[in-house]
Amino acid sequence: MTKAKGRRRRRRHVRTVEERPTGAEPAEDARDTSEETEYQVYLGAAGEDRVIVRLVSERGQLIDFAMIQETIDGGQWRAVVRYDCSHGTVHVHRFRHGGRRPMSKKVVATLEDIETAFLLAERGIYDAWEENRRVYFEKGRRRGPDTARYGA
Amino acid sequence: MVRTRLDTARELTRGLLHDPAFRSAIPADAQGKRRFLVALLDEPMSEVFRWIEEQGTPVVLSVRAAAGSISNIVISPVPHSDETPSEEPIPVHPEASVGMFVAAVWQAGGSVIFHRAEDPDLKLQLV
Repeated sequence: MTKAKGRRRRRRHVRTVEERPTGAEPAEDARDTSEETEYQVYLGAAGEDRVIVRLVSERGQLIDFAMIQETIDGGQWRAVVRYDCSHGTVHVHRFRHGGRRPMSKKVVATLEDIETAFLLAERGIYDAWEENRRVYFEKGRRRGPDTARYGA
Repeated sequence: MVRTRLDTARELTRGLLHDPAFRSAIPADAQGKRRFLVALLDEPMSEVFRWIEEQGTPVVLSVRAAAGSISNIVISPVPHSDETPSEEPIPVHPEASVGMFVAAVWQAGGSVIFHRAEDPDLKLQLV
């Protein structure tokens, strides 16, 4: 990918998954010709695990994505691990039970080759499904819920 | 988590990446949600019915066959109409397996109108 394309991609990336909750509709942006579509893959009718795949394409070309492993926790869908793109790189965000924000965020790839990045995310979720869940619940038990400090 | 479910979900995910026609064939509900439900061949249809009651339709029922291929069946509501339906709905008993349901859809040529049957004898009609 050329530098010019990289800059274009960064400018166009207007809707990261951090900006809106799971399931919410994408914001409309009349100037943006890209199209965002969300798919939800439920892993069984018991309904405790699912994968969210968000794809942003422009003229049929994939330009951005997010892939999220979610589980039911306390009656609500919560992200366990999320791969997404921003600033030309792919990040993995790891969450824990009781935590509102990611407990870690790490760059795992660049967006030079978005298909390779997508497959990396796929491996990080499907190959490590049980481990991701174990870490989510174990870290949550150890660290407890997030706390807010006021006037500190 | 049953490995078959994860493998099926992975293939769906990969299909979304590589196949624009597959992406555009997934129907959205009124809120724009496009959903897959990964099921196993030997699961009872009662699980699928329960999920549909809770989550709604349309949904793509994705099942990995014994040969390894994945059947993707779009389940959507039949619009209410005063006219007599062009085909007789087939009854699907909650205790029938997902595999039986998939076979019934294949036998019907890929499209079928069905309803949930509560009479245990009716599930035999699927075979």
